Amino acid sequence: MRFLRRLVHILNRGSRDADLREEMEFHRAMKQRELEAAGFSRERARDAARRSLGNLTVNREAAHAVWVPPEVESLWQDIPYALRSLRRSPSFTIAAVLALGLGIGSATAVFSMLDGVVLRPLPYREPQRLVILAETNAGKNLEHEGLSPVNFMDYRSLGSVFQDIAGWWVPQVALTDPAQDPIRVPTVETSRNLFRLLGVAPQIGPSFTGDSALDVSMNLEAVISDRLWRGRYHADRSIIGKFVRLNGADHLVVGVMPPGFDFPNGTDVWEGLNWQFAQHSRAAHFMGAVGRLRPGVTPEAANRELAGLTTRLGQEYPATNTGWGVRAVRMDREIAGVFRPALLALLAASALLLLIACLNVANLLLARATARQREVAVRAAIGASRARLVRLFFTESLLLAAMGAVLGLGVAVVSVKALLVWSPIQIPRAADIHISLLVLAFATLATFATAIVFGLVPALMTSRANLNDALREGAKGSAKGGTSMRGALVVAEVSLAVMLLCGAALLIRSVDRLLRESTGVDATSVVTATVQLPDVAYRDWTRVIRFYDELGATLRRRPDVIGVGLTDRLPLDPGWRLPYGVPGVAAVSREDAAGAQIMSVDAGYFDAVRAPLISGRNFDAHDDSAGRPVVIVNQELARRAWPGESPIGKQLLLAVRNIGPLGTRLTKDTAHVVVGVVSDIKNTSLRDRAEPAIYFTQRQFPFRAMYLVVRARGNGAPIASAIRDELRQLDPALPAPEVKTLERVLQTSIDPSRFVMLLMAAFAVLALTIAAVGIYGILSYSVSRRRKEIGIRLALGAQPATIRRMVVRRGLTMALVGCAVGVLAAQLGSGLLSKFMYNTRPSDPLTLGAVVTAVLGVALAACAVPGWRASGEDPTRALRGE
Amino acid sequence: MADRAPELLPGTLDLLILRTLVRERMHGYGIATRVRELSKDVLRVGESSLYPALQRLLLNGWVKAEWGTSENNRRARYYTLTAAGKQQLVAERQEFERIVLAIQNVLQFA
Repeated sequence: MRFLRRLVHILNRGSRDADLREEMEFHRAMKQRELEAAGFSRERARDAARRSLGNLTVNREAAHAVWVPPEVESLWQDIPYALRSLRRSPSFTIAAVLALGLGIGSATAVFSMLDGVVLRPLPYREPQRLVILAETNAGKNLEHEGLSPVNFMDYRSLGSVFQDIAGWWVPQVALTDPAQDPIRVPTVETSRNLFRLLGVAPQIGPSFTGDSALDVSMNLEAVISDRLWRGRYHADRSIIGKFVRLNGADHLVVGVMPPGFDFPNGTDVWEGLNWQFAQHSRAAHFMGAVGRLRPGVTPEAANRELAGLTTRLGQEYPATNTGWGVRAVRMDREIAGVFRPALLALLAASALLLLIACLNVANLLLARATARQREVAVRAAIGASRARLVRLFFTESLLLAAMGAVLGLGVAVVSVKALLVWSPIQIPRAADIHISLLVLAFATLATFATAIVFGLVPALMTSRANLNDALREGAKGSAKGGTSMRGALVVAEVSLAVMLLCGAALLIRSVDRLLRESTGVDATSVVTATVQLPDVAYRDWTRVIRFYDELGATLRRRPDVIGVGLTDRLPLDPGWRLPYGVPGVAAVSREDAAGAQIMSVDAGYFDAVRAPLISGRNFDAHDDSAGRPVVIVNQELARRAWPGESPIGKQLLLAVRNIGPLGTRLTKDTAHVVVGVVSDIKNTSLRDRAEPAIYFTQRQFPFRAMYLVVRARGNGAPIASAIRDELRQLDPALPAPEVKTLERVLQTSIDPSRFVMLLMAAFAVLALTIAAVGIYGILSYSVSRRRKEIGIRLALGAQPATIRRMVVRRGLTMALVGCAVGVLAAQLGSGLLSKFMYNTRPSDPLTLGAVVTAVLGVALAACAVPGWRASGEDPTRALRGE
Repeated sequence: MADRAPELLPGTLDLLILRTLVRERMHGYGIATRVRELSKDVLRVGESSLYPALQRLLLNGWVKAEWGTSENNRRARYYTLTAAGKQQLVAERQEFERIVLAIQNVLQFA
């Protein structure tokens, strides 16, 4: 309160001063009147009144001093002076402020991200007891698969480990309300205990009926997100008890989740599960699950129990469970995902960067201090007290640090915003990311301390030094130890920059290699669109087939369309993994028996993505529900099932009849004839070779949700809107499709590597800039220190080129040593990045060569200016010492 | 500013000003006059200490100031006691009386 009044007073200083002046004048006039009334003459009364009030200016200042203590006042007066002094050496000021600002800004930005994404506890009850479950199969190199609902029931029964488990899966859902545009909504169908398990209740509404994972009610119920509630339903509280139409079926709205509740990430609708977990297959891995551990049970203990259980299950159900395990990971770790290692590595880098920035500024200040010894001596000689000098330099340093802090805040705010906007991958918990004031304060304090400690050195140094010497000689030879220390600092800066550059360059190379990796399809000018037919309106499977037939036919009529295909899975997106059998082949290993990916495509798909048929024929119009069951297999399956033989005409046994509400096989027999072999299309990731795959024809095994794949002439842009139009014409109730180029879809899988690469590159450039400033600073300092020596050399006939070489050699030596240290350190530290690297060795000579060349180039540029200045020195002036 | 007001015990100036403002709002000159009159010319508030003291009271929020018209129709700055000022007056007065009593005790019995 006092502070506020003080502030208001200072801000209104002018008018308050006028108030006081008028008030005192009033006082004087009254006094004069009083004296006149007592019989004094007018003049004498005026003089006496004036005298009695004393010196008006002194009084005013005394009154003013109540509001602004004199020490503060004089600091205030020092600021314009300090500003002038900083403006006189702009390159120093810019270098120092840039270094401080970038250091503070990057440390703050990275920590803010780390804090929001990784460190802050999840907004659930006792989040440290929550784990995410995922099934694994080491033999098949599967690290993160969905759970089989039947296995889920077994895990749930581990009562000593779990207090509760909730499971969900992610259907494709369209939200259609009368009088509103149909949209596809991110939806999960979840067991009804999810919210209770997390400890979050809806902000309005009673939530689902039933609260155990076993409760299956036939009521269709849905809980919606705050986002959807505000965006589509205008935050109308009466939504509770009304119905929303999801995939054509009316669901009763039983809750609106609180704002910020975002689990699983991005979900807008939670449907209550209405089928029994037990009535499914152990081979179908598609459910997400979160468990709450019993108090005192660690994730490690839980994993031990789970391992024992899955081993037993593998023995009991060898056909489906051999080789399968399950893994419980702390929920916060799981959600942070790659961001945890990435941000921790970056935090280390940014802390180093801040340290280097501080050292750099210390370096610059020290250099400046030596250069200013004369100025300080002159000031001291004409009577500036030591305290006054200290305060002057203090003010300068304070200003420098303050400007750095302001720049740093700007850098932090802008870079966090930019990161959120431009990140190629969705950043988990993005809403939790705020500028961390704590770190900003810490970083600012660190820089203030640096600036102040090193800023005070000149004042202290001079008060110790002999004034006479300083005045007569100008600056001369500071301690040798100081110079080599500064040299070591610059080497450290360069090696850090080299380390970061190596990391960035290796990632760039990995990403480049991944991008060149063949997927087995030709993605250029191919556009994909999601099509989603609602269950209710398309209950009849022949209608589904008819719809897709019509869609394909209309699109094929367009002149700019080369090919149209349908598939339920795009490349790199694994299909349903199901067991198959080969009749008559005795030696089929169990692994083979257990799995191939099954997919459903139409006759146009392979052509549209340019995946050639190796042998046999494509699907045709006779392969329908009335025809005999046929499949096409990929090369990998052909190689495993019939090594050295032609698979054409052979039989495959496939028992699958339907996959949830998504798709149903219309043929009866389990025996399928292989009619063709298609080249491998990668179906897990860019890195791994294709798994065995079996393609059904969409006419025999239709799915409601399909990807439309269109190969266009030229670029695909006009096709995108054509697809939207055709879909609207065929069925106006369908949500607008999500249209992407196939290239974009395929690149999504390398986005995490790309993201880390971008961040590393940004940091590396920052570090290199700071290092260049460091080289520049130390060289120009030493050049200005050696002016006299250089002048003598030039006067004695040294060539300017020799002088230049001398300066540049010193800078390049530091850069070279830095490169050597940096490259070595990068070899040791490359393990941190192994997750994001592909087919690239840390010692890749091309990469390292490029980095070293770039660094030396920048270093050379930083040497050039001081080098030219040294060689351009005028000997006479240098010798005169001016 | 301290050298003009040795006639007052330290801290009593604030007390006197606050006390004069209890009945009505006053301008600086009025305060000085009132203190002098009431003390029968014993206490004279130097102008050089009056105005810093008033600033201090303003800073602490014990009085507030506004411009008004004086008895002879000139613009004058009037000070009014605030609620916090009234509390402060009570506290300072108790403190003052305690000290005066203490001094009297010493003078009487030492």
